[in-house]
Amino acid sequence: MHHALATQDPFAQLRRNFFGRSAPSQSNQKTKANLAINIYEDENAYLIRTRLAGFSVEDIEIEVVKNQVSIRGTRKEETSEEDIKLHRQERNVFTFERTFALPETVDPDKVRANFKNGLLEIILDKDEKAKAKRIKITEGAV
Amino acid sequence: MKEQEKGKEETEGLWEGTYFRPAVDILETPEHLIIKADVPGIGVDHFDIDVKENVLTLTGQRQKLDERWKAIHQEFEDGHYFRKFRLGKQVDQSKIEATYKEGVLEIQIPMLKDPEPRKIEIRQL
Repeated sequence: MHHALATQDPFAQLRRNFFGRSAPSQSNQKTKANLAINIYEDENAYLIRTRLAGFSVEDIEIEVVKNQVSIRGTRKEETSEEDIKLHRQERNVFTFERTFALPETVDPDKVRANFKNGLLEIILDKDEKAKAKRIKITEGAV
Repeated sequence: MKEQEKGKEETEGLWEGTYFRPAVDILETPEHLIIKADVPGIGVDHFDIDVKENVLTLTGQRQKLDERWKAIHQEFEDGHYFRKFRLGKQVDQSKIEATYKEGVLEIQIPMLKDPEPRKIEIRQL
């Protein structure tokens, strides 16, 4: 079973958006990040992986509508005491938002999300009803 | 999110695959020098922190994804982490502690207390 990923690439727009944007600056400014995602699939489901070091489960929100997935979140700034000297700050992502489309409709009731060690994994079952059915052709009279 | 650049010392890696230089914050309190590194997706047993000749080396070994998952869209490479830090003389390299939480590794290095200025007495001969 294969969807028409090659002919009508649903990620083309998404890729353009992602790579078309300039890389976040290294300054101390809080960056609204364009979250980097990886998408995998097996026969029955999609797996989305994204890295969210320093965020906690309560900071993250996931929304699934048909084949659209939105992930957003804001992490609290770590409280800094007065006598802390900051020598270097590269970890400057405090808020992010990302919406993207999967190649097929997924069943919103069967979405599992797991967050461990700063890695978010979302498993979305492909919708049985939306799966293309292979039509068996019989020979001879109907 | 800042895309991780490939580690410059890639060839020094022990494990097969790509190495990344994790983003870090470096802070100093009166008691500690603190390195916070974004190293998500690594189990606590797969880190190695090593201090040799005033250089702290941090490595994290990526865990492989189950083979049944076929990548259909990839924006970040799944790699190991590697970064080196030069330590000054003002820290106690023998008492380094580290914790790992939500993908952030925090390395605490105690500051050495300023040695008391020693007054040298001069004897009149």
